[in-house]
Amino acid sequence: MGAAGEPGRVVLSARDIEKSFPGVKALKGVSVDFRAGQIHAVCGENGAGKSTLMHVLAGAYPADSGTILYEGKPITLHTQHQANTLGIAIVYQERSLVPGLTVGENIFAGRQPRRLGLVDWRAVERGARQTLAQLGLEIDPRQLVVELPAALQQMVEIAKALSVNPRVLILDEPTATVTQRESEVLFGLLRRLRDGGLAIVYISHRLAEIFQIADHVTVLKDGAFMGTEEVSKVDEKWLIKRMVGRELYVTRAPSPEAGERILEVEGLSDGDRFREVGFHLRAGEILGFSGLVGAGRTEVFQTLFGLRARQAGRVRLFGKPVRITSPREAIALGLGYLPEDRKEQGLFVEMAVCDNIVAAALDRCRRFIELDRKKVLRFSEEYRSRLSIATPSVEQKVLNLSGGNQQKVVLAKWLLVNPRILVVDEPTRGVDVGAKLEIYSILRQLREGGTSIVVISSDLPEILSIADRIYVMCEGRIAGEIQGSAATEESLLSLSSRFEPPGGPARPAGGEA
Amino acid sequence: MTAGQQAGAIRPAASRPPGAAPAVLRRLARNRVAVLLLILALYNLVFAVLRPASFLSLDNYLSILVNMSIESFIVIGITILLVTGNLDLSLGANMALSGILCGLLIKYSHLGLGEILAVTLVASIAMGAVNGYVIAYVGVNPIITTLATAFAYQGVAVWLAGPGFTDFPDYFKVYGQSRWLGVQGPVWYMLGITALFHLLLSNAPFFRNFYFVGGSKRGAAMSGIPVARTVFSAFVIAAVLANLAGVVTASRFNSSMTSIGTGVELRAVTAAVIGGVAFTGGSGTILGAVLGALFLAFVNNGLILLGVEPSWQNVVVGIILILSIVIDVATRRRR
Repeated sequence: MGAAGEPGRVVLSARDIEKSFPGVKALKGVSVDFRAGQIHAVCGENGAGKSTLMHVLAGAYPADSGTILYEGKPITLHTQHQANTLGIAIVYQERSLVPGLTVGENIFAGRQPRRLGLVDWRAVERGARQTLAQLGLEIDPRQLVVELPAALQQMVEIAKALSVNPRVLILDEPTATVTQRESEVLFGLLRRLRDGGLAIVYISHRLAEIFQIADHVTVLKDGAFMGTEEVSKVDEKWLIKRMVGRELYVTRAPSPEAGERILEVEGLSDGDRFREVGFHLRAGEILGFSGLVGAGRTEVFQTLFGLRARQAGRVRLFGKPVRITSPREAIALGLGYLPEDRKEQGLFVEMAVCDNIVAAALDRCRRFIELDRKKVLRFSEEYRSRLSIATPSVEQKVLNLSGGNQQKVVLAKWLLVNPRILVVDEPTRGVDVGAKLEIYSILRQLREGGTSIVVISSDLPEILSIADRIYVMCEGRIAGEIQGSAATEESLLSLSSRFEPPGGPARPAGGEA
Repeated sequence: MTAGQQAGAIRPAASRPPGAAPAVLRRLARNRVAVLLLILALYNLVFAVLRPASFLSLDNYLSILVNMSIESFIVIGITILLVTGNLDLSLGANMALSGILCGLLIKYSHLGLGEILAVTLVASIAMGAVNGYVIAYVGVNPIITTLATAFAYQGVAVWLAGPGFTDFPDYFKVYGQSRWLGVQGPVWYMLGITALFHLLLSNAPFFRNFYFVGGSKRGAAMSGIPVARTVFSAFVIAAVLANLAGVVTASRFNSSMTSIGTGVELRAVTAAVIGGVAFTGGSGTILGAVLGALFLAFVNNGLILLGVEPSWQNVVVGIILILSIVIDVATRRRR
């Protein structure tokens, strides 16, 4: 599997790295070599172990077993700073810069040049200017970071990482927060750095990018090493074949007769994260929304639910044109939205299970103006048994429930509202397999009860298991529509990377794009 | 495929996230010192017209300065803590306890003044160290921690004080009451300490770490900055400044009382935020914060000259705090 006989000295190697977290084996014996003067992409689906590998290589947390070799010698990393001083630099998706300080000072964080014990500001400026110039960046080191656009902030982040002259640079999804044109600038920079002899580890799940920028690619799946290959020798099909193949959670149920279109969306844009989005939902179906994280799926439905401003587009709900501007309106019209981040947006974790269940339907639990405790308990007991929520009592705090049961509480809350259309965003993230199956069966029950459902999910087996029909989004647009029975992981994945950043070579897509 | 022919456009540098303030406001926020000087100049002009006799006198200016001088030490301490993303609500209690301990030792011990000052300083450092340890190393929320310790420190002060202490010897009073070039001692201390800490916080590497820790904990750790130790130090430095404030108060008023530090933290936070110190950590200057305190001192003075009831002065300070925080949030909002 190695890349023997190729130009480029091995700088950093992982040997049989294993790492477990409670309940998950995140890395199952991964071995990779990273070479000087090469860009090495590490790809895989969500949860494949990319980030864990990167964190281990950067010293953020130790491996359970296995060895990391740096310049041929085994090393043990305890902190990221230690990795940094050795010559392994890392740039995370989230910024580590202080927005209120200048570019120059950020680059020299913690190691400012000094004169008479004080910071030598001229040396800071000179050094930063030099670092930035070497990277071909025209950024004034005296400018405050907060004044720079996102892409330039990221360049500064990279400049900061490079200012310690590392031999290895690890980048975590560097294009996640920048626009397509901006990522071209980034790629130009990475190519120059590669040609200068740096070993670059490029973590990404965007397949198109890998063909644009990487020399080598390693695929991980469920924490297991699936192969390393030269990018020029493989195509998208090769990658997808190695990324997919996880088992379906349930056997597909036959799709029911499709009803009339109850939600029709045309040309919806928010002027930022998505544009020209058009789709429809039929009565009594479970509609899947697939795509990579950041493709704009959540934003589309937040806009429909009145949580984000729309710029253009028409929405027809139950045959009537609507213009929803607040969640309150959306709920009144029969829409429900179960957010992605249930702790932040869906649950009051410090409150009791019963209070959460009735939270969106307080009107139904009222006696005159006061809350009828008996009704609250009756409703919540009913839904506890219907959804088999495992809790000693409905008076228990939600905080004490497992992830799967918390998710069921959110579902119960929306069931009580009884929306005609329910949108569930990543309904089983952080939920164990048993609870997943239960949630799927709840969704099916709901459909039988007459609710139409939209499932947004990055989990391909999940979408394939439960969706009657699937839309795939890519870079803020609808990339395609597939019948659930005809869809495969391959077809979904290739649609997910259908739109490439401009300037990239168009690759023949695998599957029926 | 016409991939991204419009979405791919690089955003112009002037683009901003929804809800953030326009560039002019942001630039103003950046140069808060200049803005404050401008506002102060305008304020002086207005009062020179409104109350020429009472406002435009050397005595009035000196009294404004001496009235703000002692609390400016707290302003500086609070600023350092805000920059690191922390807050200490026990600085007033620390200040009170310092004054009480100092008074107690002067009246009832045979220690020399140097020893007395050393003992009170050690006590204050211990108070700051308790806060710093619990917050930086144990990881408890700073507001909860210092609310609790404020209670405890204040309790000790009341227990030690009894009826309080007064009638201090001249060799102690001289520090708070003497004048040099016609200006009271505390004003000189304020000028010296402001200059010193402004210089340190602007230029000393150790103090610059406060900004990195407050701006991005992980970024600071990755750059090898000892995050916990830095936060701990900030609490100790603030405690030392509170000690100074307590001792100088005792000397200036010739008495130690347990009530002297009441509410000082919130007034200091107000001053710091007006002076451009970010509530979220990672930015702000000492000069800005002290100018913020000067602005508040002028406002208080103005309200008195206009005959506004004392209770309404607090209302005005409260409104100014809310306004400055609103401006702060609006000008700094990111993504």
